[in-house]
Amino acid sequence: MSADLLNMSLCEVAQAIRRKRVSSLEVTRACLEQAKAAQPSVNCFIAIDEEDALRAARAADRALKRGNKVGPLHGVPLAHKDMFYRAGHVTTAGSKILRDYRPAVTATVATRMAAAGAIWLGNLNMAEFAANPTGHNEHWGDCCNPWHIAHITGGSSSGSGAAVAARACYGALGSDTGGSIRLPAAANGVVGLKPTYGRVSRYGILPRVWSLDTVGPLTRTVRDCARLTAVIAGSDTLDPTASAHAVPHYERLLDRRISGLKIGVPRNHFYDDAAVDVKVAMAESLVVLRSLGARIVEVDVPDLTHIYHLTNAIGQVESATIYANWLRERPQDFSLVVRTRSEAGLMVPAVSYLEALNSRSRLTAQFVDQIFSKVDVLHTPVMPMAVPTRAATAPGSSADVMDLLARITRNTRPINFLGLPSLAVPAGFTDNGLPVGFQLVGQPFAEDVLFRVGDAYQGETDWHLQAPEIER
Amino acid sequence: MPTTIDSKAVKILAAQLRSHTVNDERAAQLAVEIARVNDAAHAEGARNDFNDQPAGFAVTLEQLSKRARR
Repeated sequence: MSADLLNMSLCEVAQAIRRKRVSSLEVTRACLEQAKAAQPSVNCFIAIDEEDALRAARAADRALKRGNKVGPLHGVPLAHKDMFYRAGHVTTAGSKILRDYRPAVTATVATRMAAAGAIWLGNLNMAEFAANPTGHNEHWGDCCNPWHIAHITGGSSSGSGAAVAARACYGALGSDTGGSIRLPAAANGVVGLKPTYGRVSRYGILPRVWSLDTVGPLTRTVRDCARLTAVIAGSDTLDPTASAHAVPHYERLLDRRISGLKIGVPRNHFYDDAAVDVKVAMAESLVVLRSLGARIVEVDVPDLTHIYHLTNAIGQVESATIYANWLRERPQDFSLVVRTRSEAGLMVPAVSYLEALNSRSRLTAQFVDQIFSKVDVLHTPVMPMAVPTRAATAPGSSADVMDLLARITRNTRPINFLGLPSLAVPAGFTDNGLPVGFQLVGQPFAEDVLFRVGDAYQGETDWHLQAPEIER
Repeated sequence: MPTTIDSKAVKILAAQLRSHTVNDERAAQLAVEIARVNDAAHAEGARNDFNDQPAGFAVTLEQLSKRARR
C-alpha cells in the first residue's frame, strides 16, 4: 500500500486525498517513513519536521471532512530546499554560517503553497549557499544520488532532486541561478523547471545572485510541475522583480498535441564534447517527439562561451556583495567552492559588472530572434556528460572548482543570463545506470509551451515512472 | 585591448580595497579570472548604448513575450 501511495504523482495523490480515497495523514506518514528510510544513504534532508507535518495532515483531513473548499495541493506532503524562509524556523542555506539562522519573514512561495493546502515535510539538503552544481556539502554531508549513492545528485538543489526521486515527497521547490534546478532534476531522473526570470517571487528566499536567481519546482511529472508553478507564480508587492505577467492555467493547456511544433536542435555549443550515451539518449527523445508530429529543426546558437563569462561577471560581483561581511569576518567558515566562486567579485570593476548587466537585453533579443524565429523550443542535453561520481568531482583546489563549474554548467548557465524558461525532463539512463535528461528552452513567459511538449513526451515514455531502489 | 592584471596588483586590491588576503597562487588564478570577465564585459560595453540600464531587462522579457504571442 505504501509503495503504491508513494509512486503516485502529486496530482494523483491530491485527487485521492480530495476524494477521500486516502487521508492526508496516511500519505504524510508514508512519506515520513520513506524519508527516514532514505536519509542514512541519500542524506536528502537537513531537517524533517515530523510533528508539524503530522499535525498539518490531521488538520487537512478535518477540513475535508467539514466540506471546506480546498486548494490544489491540499494535504500533499512537499519538502523544500533549505533556503525558503519561514518566520521563526531555522533555515541553514546548507551552510555553517547560517546553521542557527531564524528569519523574521516568510517566503511568498511558502505562503502560497500553504494557502494551496500543501504540507511542509521538512527542509532539504543543498549545496552551501546554493553555490555548487554537484551537491557536495562539507557542513551537512553530501547529498547522494538515490540511483547510486557514489554519484552526485547535481546541485545546488541536491536534496530537492534526490527526495523527489526517492519518493520521500511529491514535489519540492528549488532555486536555479546557473542550473541548480535542472542539474539535480536531470541527475535524479525527475522534472525541474527554471522559470523565466521574474516569473516567481523571490521574496523571503536566500539570495545567491539577485540578477539571475529563479525559483521553481522539481516533481516527478510535468503535470505536477505545471500545477506547482501555477500555485507559486505571479506578481508580488514584496518583490519588485516579480512580473505581473498573467499566469496561465498551465494544467488546462496540457493537451499532449504538439503536431507541427518546431523543436530546435543546436548544431553548436550544447553537444561539444558530449558523451556518446548522452547523445544517444537525446536522439531517442527526439524520435519520440517526432513520432508525436513535432518537426525537428537544426539551428545554430550564438556564442554562449562569451555569455558564460558575462554570467560570471554578474554572479561573482553580486555573490561577493552578499557575502562581503562574512568574507571579511569569517572566511574560514565558507567551503572552498563558495569562497572560490565569489572572491574575484571583490575586485571586478563596477563598470564591468554594469556593462555585463546592460548587455542582457540586447543579447537576449538577439538569441530569441536567431532561435525562436525558426523554432518554438530549443532541445538540448542538460549536462553533456553522464552523472559523475562524488569522488571524481570533489574539488581539491580553487582551480578545480572553476574548471568543474565550467564543464557541468556549460549548457545551463547561459540560459540564466538570458532569463529564459527551461524545463528539464527525464529521458532515460546513461551506460553507468544514472538518469539523463534534456532541457527545453523557450521564449520569455512561455512555460506553457515547455509544459505541453514535456507532458506529451511523458505520455509516450515511462522514465518518470521508474524509481530507484533505496539502499537501506 | 585584452586586460592584463598581475597577481601582485590583485593582492594589493584585495587587501587595500576589501581587507581580503589571498596567497600568491590564488592571486595568479584570480588575475586570470578577473581579466577574462573584464574582457567579456568590456567587449559588450563597447556595443551597449548609453541609454541601456540594468532595469531594462525585465521590460525586454515582457516585450519579447508579447511579440511572440502576436
